[in-house]
Amino acid sequence: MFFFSVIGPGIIAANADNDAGGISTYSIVGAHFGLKMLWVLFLITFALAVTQEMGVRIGLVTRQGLGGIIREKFGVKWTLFAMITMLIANLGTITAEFAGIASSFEIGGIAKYWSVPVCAFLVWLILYKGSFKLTQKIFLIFSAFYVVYIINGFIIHPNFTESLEALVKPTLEWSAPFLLTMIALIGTTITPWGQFFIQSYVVDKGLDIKHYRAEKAEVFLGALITDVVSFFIIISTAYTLYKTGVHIADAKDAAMALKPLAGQFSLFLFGFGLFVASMLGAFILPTATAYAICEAFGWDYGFNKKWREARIFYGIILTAIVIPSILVLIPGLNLIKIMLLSQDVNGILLPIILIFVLKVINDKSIMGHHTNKTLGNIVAWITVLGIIAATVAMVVASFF
Amino acid sequence: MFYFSNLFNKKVHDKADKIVGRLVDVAVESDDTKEYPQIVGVLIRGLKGVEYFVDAKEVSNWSRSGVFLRCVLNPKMEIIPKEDNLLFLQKHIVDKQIVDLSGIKVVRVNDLHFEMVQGKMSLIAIDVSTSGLLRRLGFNKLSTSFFKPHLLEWRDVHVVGDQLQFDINKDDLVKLHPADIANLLEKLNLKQGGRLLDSLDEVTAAKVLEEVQPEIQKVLVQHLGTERAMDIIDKMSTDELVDLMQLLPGRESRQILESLPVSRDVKRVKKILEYDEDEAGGLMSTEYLTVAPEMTVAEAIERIKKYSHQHRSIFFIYVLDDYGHYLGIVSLRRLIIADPHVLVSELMKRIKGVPGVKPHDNLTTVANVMTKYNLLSVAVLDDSDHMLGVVTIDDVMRCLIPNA
Repeated sequence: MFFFSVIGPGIIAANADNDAGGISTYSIVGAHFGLKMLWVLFLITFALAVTQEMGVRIGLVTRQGLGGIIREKFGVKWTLFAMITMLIANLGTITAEFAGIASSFEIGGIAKYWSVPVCAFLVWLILYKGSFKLTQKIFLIFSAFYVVYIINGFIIHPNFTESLEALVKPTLEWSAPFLLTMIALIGTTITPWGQFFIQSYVVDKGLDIKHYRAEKAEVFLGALITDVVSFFIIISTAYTLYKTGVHIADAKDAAMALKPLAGQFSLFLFGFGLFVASMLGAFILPTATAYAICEAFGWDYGFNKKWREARIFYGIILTAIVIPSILVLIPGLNLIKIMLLSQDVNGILLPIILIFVLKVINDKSIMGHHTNKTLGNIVAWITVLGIIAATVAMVVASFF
Repeated sequence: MFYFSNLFNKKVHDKADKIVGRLVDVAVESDDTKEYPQIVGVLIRGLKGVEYFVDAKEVSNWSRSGVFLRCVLNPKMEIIPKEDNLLFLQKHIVDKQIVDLSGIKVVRVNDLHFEMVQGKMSLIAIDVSTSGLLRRLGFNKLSTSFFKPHLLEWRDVHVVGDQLQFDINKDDLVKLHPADIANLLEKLNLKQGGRLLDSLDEVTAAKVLEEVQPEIQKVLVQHLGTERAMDIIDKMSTDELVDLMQLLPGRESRQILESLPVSRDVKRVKKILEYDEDEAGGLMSTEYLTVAPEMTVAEAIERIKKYSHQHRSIFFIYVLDDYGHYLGIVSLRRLIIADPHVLVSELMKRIKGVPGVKPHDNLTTVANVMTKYNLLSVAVLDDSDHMLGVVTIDDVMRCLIPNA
């Protein structure tokens, strides 16, 4: 249990970042574009650390979730806007999680028409009847699966000089697929839900500003760990799939990247990892969504409430499970594309949420002397403007 | 009658029916004794962005199409009065969290309801419903056709905004069960929670603090600071105090222990602190009633009457010899139905029938002993059967089901 006393919000949020959308996006980044996007990953590691730290600081100072703070500062109309933005992004990500579940079972030859309804029901059952915290811990342990990518990354004997160089050498292609994948890469690493989640987490844990230094260190460490994993997923696929020119069309293709390590078992290993990562996301996201919305609008929430007392809370969770599951069940859907595109939605909507966060954290009446330093503001605004610029470029590029 | 959303951001017309700006806030008197505070004035943002404060007397008509004034705006009105006895509703009430005493929960203010009382426009109630939310968003049709407004009368409401005094309706709050107040407190932010705790008398505050979740208990005490927290902590029962000390970092708990008044048996607290939280020694309380075996029933009952106010509940009375050795127990029921002249020693269940537990026994062992011998509380004994304390069923349950 020592493990859990050390890890906190930063590492959990970072770990949950590598969900279904994460694995597939990083795999596609490496398989389709080789090392060309590593510099983006390098930059967004700092952006991730800075934005998550901002979430932690707001939570520690105000002891309120982001939804509640937005309501108190911006009033009801802006809150509605922020909540709809978050809801769309989150429904997209949950759809990716169920697409991940479907893909992982399809590797084993089980059709999504069986796996998705069963897992959706399971998620609901555990959230409603069981223990959210315990389940979260179990899946967190399983998510140590990512270690295989790191080991694999050494076994394939990549050219580390070349890879490290790619981290700092910007390459850009002015094509829609490149920009689309790049926005997904940003949107899967820094997420709207992540901002809400980390803030609620520090509030729930009963932490306050005295824990700031420890939490800051932990958040930075979390950002580093998650992007080290991302780095290895990208080079694993870059030095296997990109070299042989394999285009990822389904989960089986992505699994091939693990072949040097696991041989025949690579399919099983990848399927298991994808399943676990998807389930972790499928638990956390509907819950985080319902918490934020209920807090903002003043409805009763929390798992210690009964259905009768918190209908809207449970209603949101149920809706956030059912709609994405149904979407995934549409016949003939390209699951990998769904996972990638959902992360694009996240990336495109992220600036909106980040602007809210920036407005809050620079408000002296809320944050006192804990407002942002200049450096934090610069990094955050560059992230916001960078994503907006990339989005505009993508739209332009897809027309010409 | 009208709602705040009907007024907010509406155009303001002056005496000459010229549009002079928009209404941005409404101020009511912040007089705690008033059931329905009157509107004192309105804040108007002029066309050039300057804010004016206009006395409510100058308002000739409040309507959904706008606010009509009896006067014209003048530079004198640019002086916004101090907030000492005014409450600006948009700034401090709307969208903020409040405690709903009737429903015992924390809710958000979606809208405000005004009505004429004795010829003066006054604040009557707070709307916390989804209907109010939709009205604010401008979906008026939807707001009235599917949902009903849920109005809380202003006087039933305990406002916890940071700028406000807390003692509005304190008496109503005290009537609630401490566990309910604790649940409310857990939903508030730290500042508000601290304020809520501060507004209660020390005894109630101590009871509330005992019921609050450990993590929040810890930050609340740290937030209040040792000095202010001391008054409350001092009123807590010993075993709850020990639990709290175990949560706090060493330096802080030492500081608190040192500043506890002499009347408090600090030695006992320190002793309990030596044990782990989930073993008998850590769970136990040192508050229990004892009698001597040679006492009569009448004497024993007299003793209970004298000391019972110090204890939350009394299930068993513990029989000790002159040296503090545990001999057995006698239940309250046996004492009450027995002949007053009988000696306690004739009535009591002896140690063989009701064994104690050792301080290092774990929770499971304690629970087993209690279940096997049907005990609501069990004695904790050292190796020579000296009585150290009791573990009650409450302590065990709290350890088994921590989040209730």
